[in-house]
Amino acid sequence: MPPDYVGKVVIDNLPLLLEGFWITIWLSILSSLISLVLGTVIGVARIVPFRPLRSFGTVYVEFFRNTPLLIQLFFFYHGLPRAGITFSAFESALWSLAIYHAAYVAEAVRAGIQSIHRGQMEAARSLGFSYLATMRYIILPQAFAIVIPPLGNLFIALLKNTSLASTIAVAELLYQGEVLDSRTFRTFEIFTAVGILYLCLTLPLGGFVNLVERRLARAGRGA
Amino acid sequence: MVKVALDNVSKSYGKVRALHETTLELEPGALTAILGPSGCGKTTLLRSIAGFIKVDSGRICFDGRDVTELPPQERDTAMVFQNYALWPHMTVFDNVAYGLKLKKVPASEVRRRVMDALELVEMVDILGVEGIESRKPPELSGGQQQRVALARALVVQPKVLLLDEPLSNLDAKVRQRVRVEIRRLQKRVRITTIHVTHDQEEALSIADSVVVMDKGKVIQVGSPQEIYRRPQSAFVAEFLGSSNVLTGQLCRADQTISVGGIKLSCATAAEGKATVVFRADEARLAGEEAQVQGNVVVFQGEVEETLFVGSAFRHFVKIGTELVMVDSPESSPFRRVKVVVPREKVQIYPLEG
Repeated sequence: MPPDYVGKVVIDNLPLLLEGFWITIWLSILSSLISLVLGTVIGVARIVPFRPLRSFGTVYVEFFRNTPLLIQLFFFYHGLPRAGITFSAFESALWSLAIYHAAYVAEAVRAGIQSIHRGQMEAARSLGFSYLATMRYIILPQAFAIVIPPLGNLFIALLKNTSLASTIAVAELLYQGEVLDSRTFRTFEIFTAVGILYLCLTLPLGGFVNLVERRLARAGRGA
Repeated sequence: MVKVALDNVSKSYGKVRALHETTLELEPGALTAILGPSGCGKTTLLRSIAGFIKVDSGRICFDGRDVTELPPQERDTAMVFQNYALWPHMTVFDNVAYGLKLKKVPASEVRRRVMDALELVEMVDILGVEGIESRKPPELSGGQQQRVALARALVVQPKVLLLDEPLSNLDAKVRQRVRVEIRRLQKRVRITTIHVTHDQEEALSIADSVVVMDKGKVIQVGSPQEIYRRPQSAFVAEFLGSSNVLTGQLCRADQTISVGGIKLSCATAAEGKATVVFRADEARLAGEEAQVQGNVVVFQGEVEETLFVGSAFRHFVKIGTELVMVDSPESSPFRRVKVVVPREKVQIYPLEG
């Protein structure tokens, strides 16, 4: 093997990059799941016939959607310890990602719910379903089928946003790339490799979203 | 069998009164049709009974129990919609079964009741047991979907069955069939049923009792025959069937009404304008020179147009300045004609105000 060739630094340090790669995946999956649950609850809150809950939903969405994610991240990691609440770097990243993206999930879910015909809700209510049972068994299953494409795009955005966690020293993919760069100064190769690793996640995810979207479009036409 | 009673129920949307103080009692176990043109308040009335609309004042009672403040799911009603409103993500079986599942009915009983309900609407024959368990509503025709919707409503054994123009989306032939089915089913299960429609033929043919509404008010309540034969206002007469409406002038002094160039004797306590109504199929045409006998009203007119409408020829006849319709089995050979109506078929309604 030649002593040095283009990309050798990447091959030699692949285990380190892959460590970061796994943390990126974990962080993405966990915060996606939390944002999905939280976002659904808030999306439903935005349309319930109970004003205080609706107002809470609106304030949540507008607040978290309209402030930068980076600031929310710093607030969790640097700000909250001043108030005596301490999160690890990973937890800070997890919660800020989840809370931030939940605002977008909520908007998608709300739009999905509102696209379901009013009769669907009324049919269930008149047959004895409570409001929540109707939401759970009748409205949300249909709404989710509609919002899968926008949610897919949202989770791609979330995955890329996990790179912000490098700023608070979460040892995810970008952070490991930076560590490696400061050690070797092979900036070009290292960040090319990091970029490719992100693509290894986002491209299949994007392809999957497209596939689901086409399936749903066909199902929508009744074929 | 539950008696539904409305006591002074009213509802406004902003400045629009959708429902004026309405008091109504519906016979237990009967099928009551609520009939009226769009915007007459019939849907508001139905949705108030279902609990989807919070009424401004008044009380709604089922068998004396006040349900005015109850949410829809606690009223023991079941509603069938114009657009079916089946749940597209569930199979036919689940659509019918879900209401029972949520009520924690044991699985074996759920299955029996679901199949019984689907049998009742003849869907078991159409889809088979396998089809019921695998097909979803979007794969069914409109008529089939509405049958499933009926089964879904009946399976929970509601106290009151609410039908919101259930036949309006179906095409003519299917509509006739499902209409007969609804009548047959309702007679069998004897659930107090309220059927909202703007189709007078539909209302008259399947209802035990008809409530005619206009502009948020109940205009007349009665059996289909009563409503058809003895309409108590020009509105009801006009709305039910092909009726002709002429404007006349009442004269109290000599107890007559002048209408269409003639004078009729007419017992009246009122003075001023009145509407004179008769049905197109109860009038006949005769030649200008013909001698007419009996207790009849005869107008002079001119045939303007004759249309073949299938069951009859419809003549458009100008009487003075007003146009009336006369249906007869043969096309009239005359242009200048006499329009002959039996006196007892001519209804006179003084105009209010």
